[in-house]
Amino acid sequence: MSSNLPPPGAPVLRVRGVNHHFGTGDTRTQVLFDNTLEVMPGELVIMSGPSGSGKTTILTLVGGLRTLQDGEIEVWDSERGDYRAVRGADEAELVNVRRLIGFIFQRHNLFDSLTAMQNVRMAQQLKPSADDPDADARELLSYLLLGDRDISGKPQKPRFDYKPAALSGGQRQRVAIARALANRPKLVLADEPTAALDANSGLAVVTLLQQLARERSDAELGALVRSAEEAGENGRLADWQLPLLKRAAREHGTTSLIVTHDARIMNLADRIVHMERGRIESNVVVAERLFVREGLRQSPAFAAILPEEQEKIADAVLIGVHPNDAARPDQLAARPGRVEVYEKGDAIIREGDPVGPDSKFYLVRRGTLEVFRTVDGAQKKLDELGPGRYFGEVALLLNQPRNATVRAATRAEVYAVNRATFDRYRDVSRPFIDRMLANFRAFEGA
Amino acid sequence: MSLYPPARRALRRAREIGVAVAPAPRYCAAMPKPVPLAWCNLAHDRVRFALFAAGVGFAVVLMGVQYGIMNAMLDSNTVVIERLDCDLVLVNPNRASLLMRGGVSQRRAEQARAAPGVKAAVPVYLEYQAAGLRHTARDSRDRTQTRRIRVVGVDPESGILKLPDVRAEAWARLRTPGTALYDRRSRPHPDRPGETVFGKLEPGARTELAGRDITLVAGFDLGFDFGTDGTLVVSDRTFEKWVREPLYPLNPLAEADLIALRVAPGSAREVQADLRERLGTADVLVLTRDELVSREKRFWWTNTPIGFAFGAGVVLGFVVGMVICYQILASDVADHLPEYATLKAVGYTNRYLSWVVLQEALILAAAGFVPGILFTLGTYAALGALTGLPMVLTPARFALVLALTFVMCAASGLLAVRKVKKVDPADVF
Repeated sequence: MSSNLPPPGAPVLRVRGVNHHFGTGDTRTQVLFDNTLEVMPGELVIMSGPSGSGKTTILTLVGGLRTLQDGEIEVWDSERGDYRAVRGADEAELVNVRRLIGFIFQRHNLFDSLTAMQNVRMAQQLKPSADDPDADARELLSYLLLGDRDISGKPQKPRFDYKPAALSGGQRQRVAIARALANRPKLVLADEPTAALDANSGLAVVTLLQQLARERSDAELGALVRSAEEAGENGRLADWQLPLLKRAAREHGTTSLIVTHDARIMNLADRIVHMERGRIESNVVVAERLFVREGLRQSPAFAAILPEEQEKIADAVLIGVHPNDAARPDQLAARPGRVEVYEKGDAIIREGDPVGPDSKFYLVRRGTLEVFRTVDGAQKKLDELGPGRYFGEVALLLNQPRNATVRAATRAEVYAVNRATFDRYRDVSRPFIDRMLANFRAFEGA
Repeated sequence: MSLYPPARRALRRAREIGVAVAPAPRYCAAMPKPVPLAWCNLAHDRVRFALFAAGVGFAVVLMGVQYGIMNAMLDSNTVVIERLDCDLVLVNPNRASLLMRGGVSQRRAEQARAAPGVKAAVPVYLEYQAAGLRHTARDSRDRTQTRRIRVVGVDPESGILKLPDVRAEAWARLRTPGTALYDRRSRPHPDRPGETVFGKLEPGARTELAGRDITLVAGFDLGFDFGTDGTLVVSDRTFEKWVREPLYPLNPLAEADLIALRVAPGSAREVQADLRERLGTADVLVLTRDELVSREKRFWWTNTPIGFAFGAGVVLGFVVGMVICYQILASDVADHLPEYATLKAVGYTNRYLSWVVLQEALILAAAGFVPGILFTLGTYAALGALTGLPMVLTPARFALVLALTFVMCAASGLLAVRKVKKVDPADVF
């Protein structure tokens, strides 16, 4: 079973234009409005939003648990090396989609007549496995602290053959999680998976999901092995759990869609999808937001404003693609005006261009740019700008024509902050701007 | 009790079905062993399982006993035919039942005897109406009223009647006119244990048959029916003098009630066809013994309410069992609805879930059948002793009750399956 991921840049899950209605006739109400979402392999996606905003409905549609009424949903089938469409799928095809997915439900729904091991095996039996499924289930349960050792390494009675009635709520939830992950699905859909868990087992679950998503360094994992005092409410791992974790997550690239309010998971998210009243209000790749925020922070125009405000500005230009990945035309088109793409040699701004209401402030997303200025009639290269660098703020601040030309040295993507956004924060940042302008003038004068 | 091992085997097989079978084996190729979900669901709560099995067992008893009584009623009318040691029987076509009148001319016996392949043609005389038996003991308290009795007259030397515990000397003594063999399993006396309604029947006892003295020689075991209270076997001579002469004084034995034919082994069918040609079909019917048995049973089935009354009992048992079984399964499904929905959500098919419910039904059938059939056998023994009816559970009848039980459970399982199919996997989120 080789992990057969979608082609580079292609998502593992594609949701396009999904509308959904509940009820019929007069009671028919729309609960989802034109939702579009792409999730990349290995992403840990958090779905947030108030209850009733449609998060769970989207999850059930993605999981093939409900009939898709309008729009398209495609799930990558790694065994087949192709997408499976949920739209128009008959019951048999929906069953195929469901088998691609590991579900973690808010209610554990274990069979009370089956032992923990048997409950896990119910899932395993759906998929052929070359390895010893018994041993695998045991390791998985042991890692989740249901084996013969507790977090401090003290021997305890293994819970493998316990029936749900003899398990605590948290233990049942962990059995359900082991059941969901037993077949190592490439897509995990979870609804409040850690709600019933204590700090340590919550951390174990989240770390496992992360490790299934991508390989993490020993140092990173080692940092989680700590004393109870150090761990506090964040939980800790035991050193004996690490080998089990690595064996449980030999393959990476698992994508998780998690509906949760648990801040511990929120912090680990790669992508945060926020829903309000049936719409995806924001779809943020955390790394991209950090990238843009960091870029803005460097700029004197935004350095002095509150982090939340910085975040708002950042969110206004994000396109939901990790800054390491090139944006596809359709992704750019989905959020027009946020990122501009230039081919090698294209000029982004020209020296002497007048500044108008359409002029923008730029942040380099990808590629390299070169800054030229005419000095004594000749083009002089002043600087080279890589990802994370900004330009174009001076002209906006001084309301003067551009004082340099910026050209793409390679194919380049730049975030464009429009003038209105820029001007809104001018007053707040006045002192910084003044100091920066003083510096600038001194430099110009020199 | 000899039927216990097959019953045990059936249970074991049903358990195997429950334990070892899972659909979609292609998904289980590398698995250690599939989870026996159906069995676990039932066995989880042992008390409940025992109650369930008792419920199904109750239905089995209901069906088994009703069916047993029905069969006994029908069997009781054919016990005499089944004791005939012959291959073919000639009977008057107008005689719908042995209980009626209508004989076959002795000439037909001569003709049959002359036909190729026929080794012997023995007249058998039967009397149901005219004959009454009365005990004429010296002690007046032992005397009884005249009661109707079935009288069978045969040539004592022909050996046509198979009565295993009647020895040759008894048959020889029967040649003396005025002697008879009596049925030890005649209807028991309601008040005097060990005695029949005809009084104390024993070898040497002097009684009165159709108003004339008769001496009992030996006993045999047969059983009574609801037309008569017992059976006497006499020689054809005694039959002529005691039973027929008062009615047909001129030529009492001009007609036999049945003519039993013995043929060369394996040639019964050919001889039957040949005889039909020779004798015609106007006044004689050539039947194998088994055909006569089923003809007789058919008469009782169609012309009396036995079939309906007890057949309805069987149907009732079936329906009650189905309702019980459906209730059990439906409540089990209802209890596990979120779990079944979860199984659906993770990719189990409707087919698998249906199969689980069906397996539960079959396990219940097996678990209910074993105690049910044992109890039924006990009831048979008690009823047989009490009523003298021949309560027998032949392998074929055992198979029928078994089949009914499984069909009953499977049918209710299929009804309960509909609930599982309606489970919405989206409910679990």
